[in-house]
Amino acid sequence: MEDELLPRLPQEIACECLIRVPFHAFPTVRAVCKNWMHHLESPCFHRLRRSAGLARPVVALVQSESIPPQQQPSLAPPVFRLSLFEPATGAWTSLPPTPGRSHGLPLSCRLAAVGRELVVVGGLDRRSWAFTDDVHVFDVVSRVWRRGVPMPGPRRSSFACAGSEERRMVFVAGGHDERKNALRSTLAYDVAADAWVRLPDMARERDECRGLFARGAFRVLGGFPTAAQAQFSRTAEAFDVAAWRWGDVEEGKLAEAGYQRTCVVSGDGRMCMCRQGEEKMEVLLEDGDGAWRPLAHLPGDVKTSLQMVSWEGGLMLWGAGDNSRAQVAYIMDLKGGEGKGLMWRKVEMPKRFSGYAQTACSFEMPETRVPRGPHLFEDKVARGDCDAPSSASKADEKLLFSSSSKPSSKPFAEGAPARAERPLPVRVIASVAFVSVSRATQPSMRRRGSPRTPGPSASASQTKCKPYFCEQCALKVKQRVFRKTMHVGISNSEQPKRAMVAVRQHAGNLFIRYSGNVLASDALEMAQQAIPPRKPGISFFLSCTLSVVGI
Amino acid sequence: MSTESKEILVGESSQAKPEKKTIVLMASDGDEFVVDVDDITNQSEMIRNLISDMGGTDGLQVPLLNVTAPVLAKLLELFNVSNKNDDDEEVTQKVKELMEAELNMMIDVLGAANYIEATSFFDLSCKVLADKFKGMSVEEVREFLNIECDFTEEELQQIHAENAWAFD
Repeated sequence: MEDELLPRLPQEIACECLIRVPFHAFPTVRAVCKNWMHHLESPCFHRLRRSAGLARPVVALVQSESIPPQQQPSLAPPVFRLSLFEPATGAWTSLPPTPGRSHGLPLSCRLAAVGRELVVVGGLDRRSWAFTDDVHVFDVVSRVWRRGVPMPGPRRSSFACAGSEERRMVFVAGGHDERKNALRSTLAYDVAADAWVRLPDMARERDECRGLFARGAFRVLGGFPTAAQAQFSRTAEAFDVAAWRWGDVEEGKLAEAGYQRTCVVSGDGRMCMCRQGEEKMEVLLEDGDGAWRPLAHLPGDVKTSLQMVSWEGGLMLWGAGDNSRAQVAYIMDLKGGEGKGLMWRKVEMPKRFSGYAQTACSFEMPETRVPRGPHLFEDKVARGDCDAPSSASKADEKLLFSSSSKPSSKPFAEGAPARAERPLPVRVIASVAFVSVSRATQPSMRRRGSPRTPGPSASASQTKCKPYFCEQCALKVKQRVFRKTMHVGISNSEQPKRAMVAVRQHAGNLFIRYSGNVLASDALEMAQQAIPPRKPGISFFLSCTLSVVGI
Repeated sequence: MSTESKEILVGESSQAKPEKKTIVLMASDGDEFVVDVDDITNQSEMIRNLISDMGGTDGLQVPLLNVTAPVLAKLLELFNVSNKNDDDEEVTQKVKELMEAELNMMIDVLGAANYIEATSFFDLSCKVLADKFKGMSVEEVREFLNIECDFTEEELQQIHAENAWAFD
């Protein structure tokens, strides 16, 4: 990108401003100019936003169009569509309609978030009442819908569904087929490959079950078999994705039998659910070994809990009052800790967003879109003596930046034959460049007549210097000890792009740190152009390599 | 010190308390600014590291290669406000005022703050700018920043179609 994002500002500084724009203003920012649009859709932007702690959870919700009271009661089934809500700002947004579905999303479809994409699976066609196997995928950044490969196998309804960001998959289990047979079969939709994978069957048939994803496992809760209609079980099963197998059936896992529409999983992997308590409705937290304890009462005007969604440190609840028409929504912040008394905060719902909440999920704006195609880069861990030619490293870097994936905890399940060829996910240690220097000297920062005092200052900075890189880099670089620090301002007046680069020197290597998301190649180019003539005493061998570490 | 150089004392007057240490910041055009060490290290990580690496502040002169004197003066003025107030409200307000009055100056100050790694001030200024976009329409943002719209008519229509659903 040649143009400046903001007039007069280097790109990485402009980027620092843009990452602070809240999610609901993204459509505005995107529409300003091509450069901004391109930037907002780049993985770099989202990586930076997340590492700066600015990514906030967003709740996605399939809800009915709210019908004006004078038109009620209406015999036609309501039209369902997708809305987004930001708990942090209270802002609601609706999304463009799904192409080819002018009559709205299918009734009782399932919704899951994977990366920055929302996946809508299955449901009932509003006109024919037939089960649908449709898959619709919406990219929340580019705001574009696409069709996914339809769900294979018998057409099913009332199934469990959950998405895993780290696995980039949507899992589907149980439900019933068109002849009302409860199902044991399980499938997974690989969002990147746009392909379905068959999973081993569950131990039990589970119609009208609930699905959750937490801690590397897809959990399926409750449900009932064909032979015992509506006799919900309290059991659960979990599919360990790394081991690619189902665990044992956990008896008595749930606090209450029934359709687990409010069962969610909290940040620490424990489940929460709503239940009619002795006096009031309450929300329970799993306490290990099938024990549950009350977390809080539900707000007084919630007589029926309809839907619950959780994110790291928070819960959102939709409920209905006595007359069951009016829907209310509340948020509870769990971050304050249970000791302080958990408070529900009522959510203002503009009329347009007050329709019945059918299904919901939450996501944080992730770093990157699900990468498509194989990763071509190899696992290159930079070492101090690593001397790659700079031209090659630039090429590498472009590749890395264009196809970098979100850090994912492990290579995909070795036990999964279908997935065995999937390459090792690697994480870019962005913005670390190694520069060899032939004669290490302190440049012009040192004042005439103030002799360098190596002893105390060196040891002081040795202990004080914290690693100078973004948190991802720190993983690898932390172990290094920096003996000397110097700050070299690099600017290049010929080019509009300017980068401020701080350099640390260690054992004949200079570690260059530059702020923001400017590419290492850019910074090095500028270093090459700017430093040698202006800073006599240093001659550089620019041999840089970008470090990548396998996870 | 040359006759045309400016001298700004940041914080309580350092003449009254001669034991207070000062360093000199040199703007790109050679102007020198004498600043209180505590005041500047409170804000600038770069200068803090520099001082610890140099083993002291004795006669330290820091050349700031691409910060001009007016920008540096404005930046130090804002640091002063920030140092005097415990909360960020006052300085946020000042940055806002600066943004409304002289956007270019504000942007240069932002760049300078980034250069000397005045992290918290930089964060705050970025937030002010980002908050400004939040409540604006697309056209207003373009006009405010003097950004040219380079979409074709077709692209604009498509964006409009995608965005029409975002707002009510």
